[in-house]
Amino acid sequence: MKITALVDVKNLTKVFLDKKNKREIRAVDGISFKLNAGEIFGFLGPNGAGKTTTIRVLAGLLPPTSGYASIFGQDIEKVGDRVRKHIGFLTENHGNYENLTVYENLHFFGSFYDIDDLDARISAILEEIKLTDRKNMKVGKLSKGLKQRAALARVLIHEPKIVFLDEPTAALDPEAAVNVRNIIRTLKSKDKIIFINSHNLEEVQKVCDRVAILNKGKILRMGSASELNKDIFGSQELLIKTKSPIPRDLLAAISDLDYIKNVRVDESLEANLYLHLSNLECYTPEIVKLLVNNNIPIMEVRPQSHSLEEIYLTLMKETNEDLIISQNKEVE
Amino acid sequence: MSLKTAEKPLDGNNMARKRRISEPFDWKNVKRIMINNLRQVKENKEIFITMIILPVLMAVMMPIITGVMAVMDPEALVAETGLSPYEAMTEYIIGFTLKPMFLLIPGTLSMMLAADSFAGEKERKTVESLLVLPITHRELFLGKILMSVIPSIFFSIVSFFIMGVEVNIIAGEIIPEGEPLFIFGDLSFWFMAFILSTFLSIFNVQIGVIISVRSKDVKSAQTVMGFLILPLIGFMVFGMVQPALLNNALMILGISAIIGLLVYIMTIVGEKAINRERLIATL
Ligand SMILES: Nc1ncnc2c1ncn2[C@@H]1O[C@H](COP(=O)(O)OP(=O)(O)O)[C@@H](O)[C@H]1O
Ligand SMILES: [Mg+2]
Repeated sequence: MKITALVDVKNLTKVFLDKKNKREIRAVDGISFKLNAGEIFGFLGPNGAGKTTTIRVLAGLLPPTSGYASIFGQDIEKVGDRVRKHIGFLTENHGNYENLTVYENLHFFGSFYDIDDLDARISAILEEIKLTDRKNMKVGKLSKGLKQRAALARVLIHEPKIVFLDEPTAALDPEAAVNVRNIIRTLKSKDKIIFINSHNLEEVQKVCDRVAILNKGKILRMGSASELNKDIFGSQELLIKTKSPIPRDLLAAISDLDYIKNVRVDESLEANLYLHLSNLECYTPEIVKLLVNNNIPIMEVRPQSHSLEEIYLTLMKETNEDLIISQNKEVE
Repeated sequence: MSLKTAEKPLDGNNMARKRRISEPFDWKNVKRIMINNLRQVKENKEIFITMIILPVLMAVMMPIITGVMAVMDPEALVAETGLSPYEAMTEYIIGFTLKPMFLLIPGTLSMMLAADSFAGEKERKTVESLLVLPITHRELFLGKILMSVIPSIFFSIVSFFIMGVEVNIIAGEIIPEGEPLFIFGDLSFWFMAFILSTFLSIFNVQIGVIISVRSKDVKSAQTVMGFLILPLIGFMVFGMVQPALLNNALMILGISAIIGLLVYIMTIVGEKAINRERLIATL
């Protein structure tokens, strides 16, 4: 039996025309990836990166401008609207009717799928999402976290094979976010794909098996969460504050070490040393030992975690360099 | 935002537009969309009040006021018009006033409801939850159109009967023997209540849904529709000064046919004007 990816995207591009400014917006710009059943896939990117547009195209809400995408092995442009019987789509807004109860919402939305015993299914999903006690409450009366859970219940009512979650925790307070993330993790199953759009690095790290980093419609990097952790998310900077400036020859020796990626000295406070390590956990003790052995009085050692912006900047620089290299190669 | 997807290839590798498989039409989906929207509308006080007040005002109050006038002071009518009280009532009060006013019922109701069809979902932030359902865009839009058209036709017809019964009860005494009843005896009024107001409702709703798709909220949809209702009001005023227009059954059929043709054209044009992409662009 041939194993086909549940989602297969090749060179997908979506261009909007901004008529007023006579300008093209390349919301999605030639992305490619394959998703297999059983994985939680994270689409990480800042606002306007093209995350929402991508999943709208995949769910057949927007036609692609060019490129190809298939879902369940069928071309998304041909497959038709009924394919969404197997897709769950959590929109950026929770999307339930606030003046209806949780039950009424699930009953309405659930009625569009071929569910044998809808009432039984509603009870089951409410139990799963732990919302049974709010069944007859108006959605408008629920807290933000519970609204999001009610939304998840709607999205999962028909046991979809592909679940798109568009920024599922963006509007929530930290506690509710953790709660929703835990629920998402329990959804993982071997016949399902969960596709999460997020601009939250931590969320993607904690929940996803595989991650693609998207910026300006392009995938900058893609890999398993653990790969990316080691590669970029995890390569944190280490801040070492010393009592006196570090001698130049020692600095040179440090930057020659193979686990040191980058050395930076704070210009205003010469005693602040920023080191870019390949693995913080492994090499922090080593570098401290080295400094101590050289009689440098250490005041403070602290990991500086990267903001997502910094990661984008690094990645953008990398991609640009790659581009330059490949262009040079072409010239040769 | 006047944003639109590029229809022409923007990259060299764009493929020819593919044909989607055709899916069987499911009336149940249409019905679900319709009932759900009516439920929302019912809870929208502004629309609900219009839905009740307008027919009450037009169909209940107006006939009482005019009918009572005619009965209380038939001499005044006779002196003013030189006609018998019955003729004066038929021509001036029903023909000049009630009949043109009657058109306001389908004219306004259909617009009010159509305004909510999509702009209302935008306000409730539920558009996308509807778009992701496994329904075709035909089913979705037909559901929205019918939810606006059916109540409009229903209230028009009910108003017609209420009006007729009332006028005949109040002013029945001035009907000479052998003459037909007020309103019910007038074929053109029947045509107006059943045919003209049906086509008018459908046409209004078609325009209204297109506006609603493009509006951010119900208020702005209603504002745009306010301008579109002007021709209807002009038509009514014309009907008041030129009663031959509305008092002639053939004329009503003719006008209905013209609007029916417009409905047909809109059905074809509308398919292009209203689609998912347009809707998403205004979210
Ligand atoms: N319907 C649309 N019409 C025009 N431009 C759009 C539309 N939807 C999104 N865009 C533009 O496409 C880009 C990507 O948007 P989006 O996919 O919503 O990003 P994200 O979800 O990552 O924040 C943005 O510049 C946005 O303004
Ligand atoms: Mg988004």
